[in-house]
Amino acid sequence: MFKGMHPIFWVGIAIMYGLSIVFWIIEIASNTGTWTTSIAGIPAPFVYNNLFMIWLVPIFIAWLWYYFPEKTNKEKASQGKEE
Amino acid sequence: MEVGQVHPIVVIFAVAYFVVIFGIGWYSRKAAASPMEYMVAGRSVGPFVNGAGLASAFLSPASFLGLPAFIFLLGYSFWWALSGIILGMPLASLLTAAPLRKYAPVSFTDYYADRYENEKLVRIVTSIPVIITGVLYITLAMVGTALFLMAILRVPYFWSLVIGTGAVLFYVYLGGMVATMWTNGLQGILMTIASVTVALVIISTFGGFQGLAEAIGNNNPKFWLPPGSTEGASHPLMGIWTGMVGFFFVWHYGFATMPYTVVRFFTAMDINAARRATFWAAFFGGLMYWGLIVIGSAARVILETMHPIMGTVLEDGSKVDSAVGVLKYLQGYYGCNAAAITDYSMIAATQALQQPWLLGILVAGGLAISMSTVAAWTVVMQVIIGRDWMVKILENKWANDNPVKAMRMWIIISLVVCFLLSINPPAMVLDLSGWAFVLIIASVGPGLILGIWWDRATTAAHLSTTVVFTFATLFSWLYAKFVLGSPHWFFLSEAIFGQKIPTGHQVYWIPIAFIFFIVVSLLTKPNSEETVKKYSLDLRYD
Repeated sequence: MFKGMHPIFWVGIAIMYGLSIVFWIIEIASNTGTWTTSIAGIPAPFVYNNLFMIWLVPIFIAWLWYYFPEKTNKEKASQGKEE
Repeated sequence: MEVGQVHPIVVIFAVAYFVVIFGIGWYSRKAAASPMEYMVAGRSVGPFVNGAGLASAFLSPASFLGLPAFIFLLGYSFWWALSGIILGMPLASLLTAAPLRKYAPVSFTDYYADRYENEKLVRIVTSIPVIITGVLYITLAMVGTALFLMAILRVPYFWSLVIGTGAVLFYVYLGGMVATMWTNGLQGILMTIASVTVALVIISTFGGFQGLAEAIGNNNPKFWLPPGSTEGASHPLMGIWTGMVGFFFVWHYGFATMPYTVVRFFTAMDINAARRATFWAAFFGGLMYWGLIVIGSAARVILETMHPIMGTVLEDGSKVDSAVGVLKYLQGYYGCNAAAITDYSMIAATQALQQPWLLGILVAGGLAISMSTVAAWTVVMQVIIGRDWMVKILENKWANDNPVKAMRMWIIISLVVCFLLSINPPAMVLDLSGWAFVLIIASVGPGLILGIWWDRATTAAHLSTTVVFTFATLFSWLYAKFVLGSPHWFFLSEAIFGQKIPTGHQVYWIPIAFIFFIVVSLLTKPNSEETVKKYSLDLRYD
């Protein structure tokens, strides 16, 4: 199963679900929520959830998942030409 | 500005939006000369337009109206549902977008018919949940279009429906997928601008993020509480972690498996463009959801401190003294019960800010997100019924000789049927749109993803999974709604645990469906080596 999948896929999966689980655990352990904690003067959920997880992480993973397969293909193509 | 007034600038924004949409439809009418142009836009769409279009098609009025309403009701923990939706977008990149673009089908059911070696039965079984979902989503999106026209421009609900349906019919009929792609691309940018602009004005109104967070916490002290807090719960559905995590996954795998997004990967100019399109979809979708979270979180405090309706004395002598009271008043004022009162929370909060230009942007963005979903599902339905059913299954000669005419006929029929349903939609239709997501991912999702990524996926597994989980998801959802009081309680929770356990839209069926598919595949006859090589192994490599 998933034989042939580019290895970068599993890196992206680990980032996506790893970060989600870490933030869920931090929130549940906080008991009253994380909004009273500030990051750069901004209540923490607006930074780690409503910026990092909803926008920066998805576009970073989307970038990983097109950049590395394209890079691999270019390397294969250049190797093919040299041979 | 009074509730009943419409500022000219709002009308100008709406008229400008319709002029551009009609223009795109008229300009793309040449697409009807070629069935391939009409069905898959000639496979020539670049990643930026495709990505913006994917975001606007995938994110429906259920996003624009429903998700802020859910945050209004359930509190902070529901933010994770929105993160789950956007985090799920990149998953399509490697799982389905690149392999399916390499395969280059025309219809959603083509891959299933080829991979599972059956031209008719597999198409029939696969298309049934798709058609059910299509009708539900087109109806939902038509209602959303009408709500924006009605609530912001004061056009009566029926005539709002006529205008919205007529506009979509015009450009989809003329230009098929070409018109849908270009209008969706523009609509994706518009809805993002609308959401972000309204959110920035809200943050500014409260003096920054800190002021906003404090205002929300002071107004509703339970809003920020996480699941399991000893201080209580923001809502019973968020009382334990299964509620928060369950809602994260309800829509998470939809982008990689829903027909109205998957068919867009067929239109990409090449495999790289298909993968890159998911980047732009996450870019626009993420920005829009950033805004929706701010709006949904602030809606209650805005309504209760700034809305002109607050404090109004009603006929029975009582006063409007809460956000829910404001929304109830507005629903009565509009005289329309097509949506839950909380679905008006976003529009009402924006009205409370009393900036006509902001309402103008919101009406353009709201119409964009609603009409883009109607169009996206309509092009799926026209190909599934006009081509797959009439030509491939029923072998109709007229449809075979006149493919564009057959599809246009089904565009009209689909829109007329959904228009009639939208006139007085039972609340069930709108509620069931949530079930539809779990239905598609659990019934036809395993056959698509494992069909590509597992040599051992079999025809029997796909057929049985589709049938079993179409019924299982529907039965459990209805049971939970009518017996337990909400479709978001695990339907057997009282029987097994003696208490209600929250699981958004019976989401646990998704992993169960994948396990069921694997077990049945291992117990049944594999497909031929030639088929597995052509439609599984070869698609995995560029």
